[in-house]
Amino acid sequence: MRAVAIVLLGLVLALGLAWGARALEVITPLASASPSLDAPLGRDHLGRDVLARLVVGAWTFVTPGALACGVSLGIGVPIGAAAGWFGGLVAAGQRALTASVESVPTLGLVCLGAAIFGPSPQVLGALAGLAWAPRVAEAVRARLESLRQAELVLALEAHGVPPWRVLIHHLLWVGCRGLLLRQALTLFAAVLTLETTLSYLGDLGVAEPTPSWGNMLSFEWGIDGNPWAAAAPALTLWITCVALAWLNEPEGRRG
Amino acid sequence: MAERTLTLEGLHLADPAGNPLLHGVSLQLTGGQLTALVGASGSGKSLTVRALLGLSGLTVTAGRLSVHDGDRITRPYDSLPNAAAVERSFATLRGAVLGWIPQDGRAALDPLREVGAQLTAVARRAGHDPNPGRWLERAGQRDAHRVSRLYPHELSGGMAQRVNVALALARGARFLLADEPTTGLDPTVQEAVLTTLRALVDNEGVAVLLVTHDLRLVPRLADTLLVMHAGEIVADGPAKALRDLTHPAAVALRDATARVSGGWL
Amino acid sequence: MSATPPRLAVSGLTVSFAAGLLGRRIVVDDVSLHLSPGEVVGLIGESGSGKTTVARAALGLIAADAGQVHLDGVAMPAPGAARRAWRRGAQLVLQDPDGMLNPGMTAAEHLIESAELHPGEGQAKARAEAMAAAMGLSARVHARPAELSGGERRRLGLGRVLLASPRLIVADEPTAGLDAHRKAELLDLLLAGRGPSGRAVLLISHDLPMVAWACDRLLVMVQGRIVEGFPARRLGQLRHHPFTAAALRAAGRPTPGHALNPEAEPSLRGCALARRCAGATARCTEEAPPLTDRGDDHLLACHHPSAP
Repeated sequence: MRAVAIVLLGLVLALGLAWGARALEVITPLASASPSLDAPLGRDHLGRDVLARLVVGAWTFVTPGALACGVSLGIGVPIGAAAGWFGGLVAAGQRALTASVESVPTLGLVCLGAAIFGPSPQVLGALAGLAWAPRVAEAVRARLESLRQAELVLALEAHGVPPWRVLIHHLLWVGCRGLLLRQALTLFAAVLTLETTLSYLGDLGVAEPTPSWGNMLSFEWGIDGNPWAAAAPALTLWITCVALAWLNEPEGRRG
Repeated sequence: MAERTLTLEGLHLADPAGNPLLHGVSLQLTGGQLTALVGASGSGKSLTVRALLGLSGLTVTAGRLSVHDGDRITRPYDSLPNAAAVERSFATLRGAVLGWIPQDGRAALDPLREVGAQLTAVARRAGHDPNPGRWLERAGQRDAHRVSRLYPHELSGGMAQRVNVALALARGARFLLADEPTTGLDPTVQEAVLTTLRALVDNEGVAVLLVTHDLRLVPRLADTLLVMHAGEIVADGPAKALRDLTHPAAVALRDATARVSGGWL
Repeated sequence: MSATPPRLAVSGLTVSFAAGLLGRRIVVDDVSLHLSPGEVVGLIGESGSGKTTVARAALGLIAADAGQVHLDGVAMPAPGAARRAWRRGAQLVLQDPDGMLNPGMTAAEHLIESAELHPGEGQAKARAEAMAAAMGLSARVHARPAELSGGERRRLGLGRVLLASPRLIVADEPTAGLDAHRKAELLDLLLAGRGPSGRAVLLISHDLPMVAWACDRLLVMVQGRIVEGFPARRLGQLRHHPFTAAALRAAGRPTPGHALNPEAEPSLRGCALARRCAGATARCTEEAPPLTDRGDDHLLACHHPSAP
């Protein structure tokens, strides 16, 4: 099932690349037009094709999410691995760092970043990733500690497995890949919600005219005209969040 | 002496898919006798014990169980197919008449209460002497004062099993179903626990079913030997008669045991 | 004196662990033992006697307070890559069969990893497949540990150990809880490579009849100390240590000897069994009996052993 979802997403993203210009095309006489062959979901109050914007908006969902995952895993995994492997002072340092960063509300951090650097998918993704990194580090550390307390690490050492392979292959790759995937999926959903919230708060999400599902929704809110212009992004947001949660269900056999 | 027998006849047990797990298992326990139920791993020994307690969680497709305790006779499986009635019937037997000594002694105890408190509570409910020391001594546990104040996690394996025996006695159990009670214990501790069970059989007329995979324990401790293989009882006779075993599976077990014991059997 | 160095030589090994805030508890107390190539030595003792700690310290897996370990005459180096290289050829079979299995890897992946780590004759994949067949796991190679039965997991762990073609195997309670058939199978596999210049095995167990059958020599440990050592075939014929005599009785062989109370506290001064042994005298509480040679390969540490 995960494979099907990934293929679908790939198709949508490819389409989004093709339709880039179309999503920005403003046709004023067709403002709030109802669905037609040319624009199957109609047009928004500026006359732009809703479907095209929806499809291109997938990129503004994927880009910050992927960036956030990259940043959070790239920072969180090495820190968590060091804390879990060495324990002692390193672990204590990691826990202190986690506690202090987690006490900063993510929304506030991203608002601040948007105010300083300007709202963009890249800023959103990078800051969300930074805020999430401690959670990843903590999850990795905890997993490693529990695996070390079980006799696995001692047994592998006795068997002759070199320490680098124990850490990277056994503990991180095999031991943590499941939980890291789940962290990534959760982060995608969190970034999506974050972006939507920021668009609502006043255009601090992705800036117009680049379409994002969040800003499409806030832009058309309360405007009479084509109901699909607001309903379509809302529905898409909802379906995506449900899909992410469903994909995040652990499979029966994997630990 | 009051009549005290447990008779199981022709028990057939199947899993949810209908695959038979126990075929026509029959056995009899009598007060003052220790019966050993021996078999390789997976032969169905633990399942049989759980079926005797109505805890198998599986479908009983045929079979009768009658428990005679003094004047009271209970036949739980006669209420089939009414599962609720079967359960009610077993509920009167479990603890009060049928005591269970499980493999993991500590896991069967309440981790949050001292041993003495657990014994007192159980004895009171059954209307027996609430003094825990009395029950611990009957179960062969020395230093009862100190042990009463311990929590289950502070008990050694052997002590935990004696506490389980004490709990069963405090409830008034006349049949003790011991499911591999000494696995993982050191031989000297194992010996002590098994000697306690034998003493209860000899001195108090308790009926004991000892489930084990270790045939070596049988000649010294048991009166009757049952050998189980693939869900069936394949040998049933006096414990001393190990040489007279004929069923191939029983003979194989005896020979394998003799081999890894350097011939001590 | 033999020209070949012993496969394993442990001398004066002492290991202690932190206990309480500032104290230390001695778990292994001045233990010495040696295994010749091809020899099978049994180490028996109660739980908590230090047998597992000896096994791990002898392979350099945990730090010792004192003592020396030599494998084939080579002293154990400092921890690190040098020690890992020194340890090549020696393998540990853990008491818990799940200990060396990674829950996220299949049986095949485990065996292939072992075959690649310890190169031998032929391709790693082929050797792994052959070992799977030898262990009766060919049909289950794509299963993960959670999907295998307890016995299959044990065989998988053993398969990994054997793929290393070890010259020394330290087996810590490898047959605990197994029925007679599985015990016999496992022991056959474990002892297969023995012979004059073959694999040496240190078999740790509390199953006395089994150890007596499988081993050439037996060592008895009580509270961290070796208290007796003798050739296996002379079990029951000697004036044994009270602990050995009690273990023999527990195994069903009537043996004369002082009764031991299993629940009395061990004593920290003098002989560890001073408070448990019915034959203990004042001397036993004052003075720990030294391990002395009684002749005919019989080592014994007891002031008043039982009569034969």
